[in-house]
Amino acid sequence: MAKVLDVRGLRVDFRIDERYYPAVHDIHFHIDEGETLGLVGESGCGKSVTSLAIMRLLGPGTKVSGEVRYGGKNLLAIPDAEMRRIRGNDISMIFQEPMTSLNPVQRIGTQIGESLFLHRGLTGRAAREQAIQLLQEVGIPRAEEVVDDYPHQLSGGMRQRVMIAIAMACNPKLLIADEPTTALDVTIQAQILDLMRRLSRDHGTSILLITHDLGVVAEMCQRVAVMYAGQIVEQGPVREIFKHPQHPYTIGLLNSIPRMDGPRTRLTPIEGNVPSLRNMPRGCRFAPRCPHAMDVCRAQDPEPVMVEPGHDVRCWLHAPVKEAR
Amino acid sequence: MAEPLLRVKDLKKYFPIRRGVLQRTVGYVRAVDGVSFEVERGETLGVVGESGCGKSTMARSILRLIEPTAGEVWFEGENLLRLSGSSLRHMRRQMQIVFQDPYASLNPRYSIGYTLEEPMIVHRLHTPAERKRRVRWLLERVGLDPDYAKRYPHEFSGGQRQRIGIARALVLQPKLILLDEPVAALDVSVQSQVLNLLEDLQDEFDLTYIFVAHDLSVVRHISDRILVLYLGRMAELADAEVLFVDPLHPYTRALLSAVPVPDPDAKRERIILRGDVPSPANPPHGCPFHTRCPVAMDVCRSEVPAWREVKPRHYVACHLY
Amino acid sequence: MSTVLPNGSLTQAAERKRGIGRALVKSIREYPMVYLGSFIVFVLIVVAVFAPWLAPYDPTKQFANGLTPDGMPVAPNHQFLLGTDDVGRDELSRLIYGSRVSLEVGIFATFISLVIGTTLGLISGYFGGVIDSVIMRLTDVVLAFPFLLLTMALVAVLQPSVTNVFIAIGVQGWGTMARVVRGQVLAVKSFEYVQAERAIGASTARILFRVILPNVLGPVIVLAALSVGFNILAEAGLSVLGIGVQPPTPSWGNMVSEGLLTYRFAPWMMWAPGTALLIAVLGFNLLGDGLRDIFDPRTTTHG
Repeated sequence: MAKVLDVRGLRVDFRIDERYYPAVHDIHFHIDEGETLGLVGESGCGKSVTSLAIMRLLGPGTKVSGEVRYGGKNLLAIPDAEMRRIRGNDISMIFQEPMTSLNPVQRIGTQIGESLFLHRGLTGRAAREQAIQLLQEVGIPRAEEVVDDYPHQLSGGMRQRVMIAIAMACNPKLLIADEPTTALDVTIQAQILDLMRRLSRDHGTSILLITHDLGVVAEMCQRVAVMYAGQIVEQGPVREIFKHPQHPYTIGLLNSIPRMDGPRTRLTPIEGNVPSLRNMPRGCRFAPRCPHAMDVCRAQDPEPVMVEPGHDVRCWLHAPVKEAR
Repeated sequence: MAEPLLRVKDLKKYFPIRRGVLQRTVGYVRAVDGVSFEVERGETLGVVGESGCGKSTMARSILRLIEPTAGEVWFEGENLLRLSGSSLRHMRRQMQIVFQDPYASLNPRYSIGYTLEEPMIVHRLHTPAERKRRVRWLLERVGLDPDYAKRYPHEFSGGQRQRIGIARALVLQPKLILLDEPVAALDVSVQSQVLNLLEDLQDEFDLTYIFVAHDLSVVRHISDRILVLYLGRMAELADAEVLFVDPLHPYTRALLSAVPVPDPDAKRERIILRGDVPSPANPPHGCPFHTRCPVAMDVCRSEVPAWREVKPRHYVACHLY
Repeated sequence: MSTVLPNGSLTQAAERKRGIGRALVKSIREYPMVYLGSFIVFVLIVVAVFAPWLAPYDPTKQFANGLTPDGMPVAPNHQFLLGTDDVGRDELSRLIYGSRVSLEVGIFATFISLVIGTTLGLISGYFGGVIDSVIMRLTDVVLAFPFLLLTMALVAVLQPSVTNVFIAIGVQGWGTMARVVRGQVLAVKSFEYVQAERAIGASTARILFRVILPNVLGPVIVLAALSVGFNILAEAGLSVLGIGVQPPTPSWGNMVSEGLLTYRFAPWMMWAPGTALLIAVLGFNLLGDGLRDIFDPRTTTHG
């Protein structure tokens, strides 16, 4: 299957007090056409930074290197004007907080129309009709009225639908969704996830779904990449990851969440805390919290190793023996 | 069974909506609208619901951190809502609260040691040396280095701060602790540490918990019984095991089915509710859930369903039963 | 921003002071304007305190050679570095002594506003409701009233003197303070640690003074610094109009006032106090603006 997006050796450095610290460190992943890839991890693991780096939306004080290949081009190397054409048109994005991502003083229709005008040259009646059609498609009742509403007149769930309508306005190839349902209630989350699944199927849109919720990943994604402290520690097909996790962090994460089914047993937490950017441990970044840490883990950062076709793990436990020495 | 530790009767909290230059009251937000339940000694009562269901307001009204509009809160033979001044402050020693946001709930200007010592100072307990000793002991008990007493909140991670918040709730040796979304702001891997800690402390100190949360899997894990709220009203109350296996209220069913399960093979029937939670300023007539209920009948639109024990220890407010 | 506290036998208070001290040094390096402002203010205070030692002469002494033979003020020379005034007194000495009045009025008036404003703001913000409405309407009235008009009326009733001037200025300067404090209280009050304080059984007084007050002091200090500058100008304005500090007590205001009359032939009489006022007000404003930058987390680079 063709790759829509191919990220190779992406690295993002943040400047703090005159020094650079790698917030995202040498990550590789790709997204196939029509596929939903889950990027999971805890806060501060670099998953949102990754998405912003792909969109080239990181501000000053950051250094991005590596390659982000889209449609035969490296997005990190093309001119700004070309990147602007790609944003919103080929790749669009939705965020966690639908209140702050919408302009509070513009009508919903105007905000959808803006994208339609910028990328498809639609204006006036045509844009308005297209906007109404989009609102209907994302399941907003009374779309003809809502198109003239302001964001504050809508609920959180409705606002997220509007965000999705704006993101889908130009029929993008890739939708980056950064914690799209975290701010929403479960029953509303179910609606939004359902909507995203339907849009992806009907339009063949690929989705990069960034989330901390393993449940959302299990329901939405075909493949998963697990991030920890700026690195992808494990990636593979969703069943593989959930049924045969290989990295101690993935295993720990799956064991530490309370279940909705089965007996209620004591949880097995991962000890310790997520390291901060300034105090990254040497060697494997998970080593200080890892129950299986060996000497080599504390000395040297492991490379990703393939354990099954399409299933990579970044862990010394799985490294070929000669490398481990 | 013996007398319950806490008995809440018909608790209500209405927030006035004020408009205009004269700030006239034009209506009320019925955040908590007639909630009654009992909490047995040593049990954990989970309270779940979506945003706007009033679970947090309810918890704070019980402690009178928010002044309730009406109702009774019986604790150890006294109606808390009738107490005032020093007798109220005295009662507060018995019931403590742990807040959701571990960043906002610790005073940034106080050292951890002082934060933990202050409740004892306020109630004039122990000698200074004894207080310091207790602080160190408590820190150790919640899994922190006793030397952290000298440090300030900004030096700690969210999980560590929440441990400090829990230690503060324990200082006065309360009988009841209200936990208001205590793990919602924490990372998944840290959540489980705190949940385990809460369970250990409950055993060690014979604590009774009211655990308020929106995360159903967390509530299921920790609770003995679960109360489901919707729009400030009680929808269902049952033992945790029973509620998850045999939910009766259509809202509980939808809520349970909506939770994503971390198992790609799980095949479950999902009930997707239409629309949003109505505004508590203008709740629907009849059953508050009828606007979204997939099985609503005519009677639901006109009559408020009664709170009934339809099976032993299983209460529900729904016209279906 | 994470401060690493030293491990050792230092008491907690000392540790905290050291942390604040270090942060302050760092901020001054980052905000040179604060440094300049504090320097000006510091010099001003030194001059005012040590005026009797710094001033070459008695400020009220009329020198025989302080006037030209035709009765004009003497231009700056070796004996009178800033010249003399129209009755033959040394301008420099008057300027140095005048700094006392300016500072006194500036600081005491601010202090009065500070006490009134902070108290009312705290009460208003914490208790809310009717109390809040009443206090805020009162604040509106004070803020809406023309400053000069009310001050003139007050001084006229109280008789012009240094004390009455700062009382008159101070009792109307609290409006902004009260508003700022109230806003801060409302923000701080919503923090859960304030609720936590109630949950442990702390009394209202304890919460107000030990928890909320320290958290609102930052902006109040900023406002106070700015207000000292404003009050110095206010005193000068009143004195120029002749209803401020009365001669022979030298104040920069009445010196400017005297200088106005003789400006054509003795411009130094206005230049000297005018420049002093400018520098003093500039100093307090720089200090206040700088402190605001330091206290405002949005303008700080490290959160």
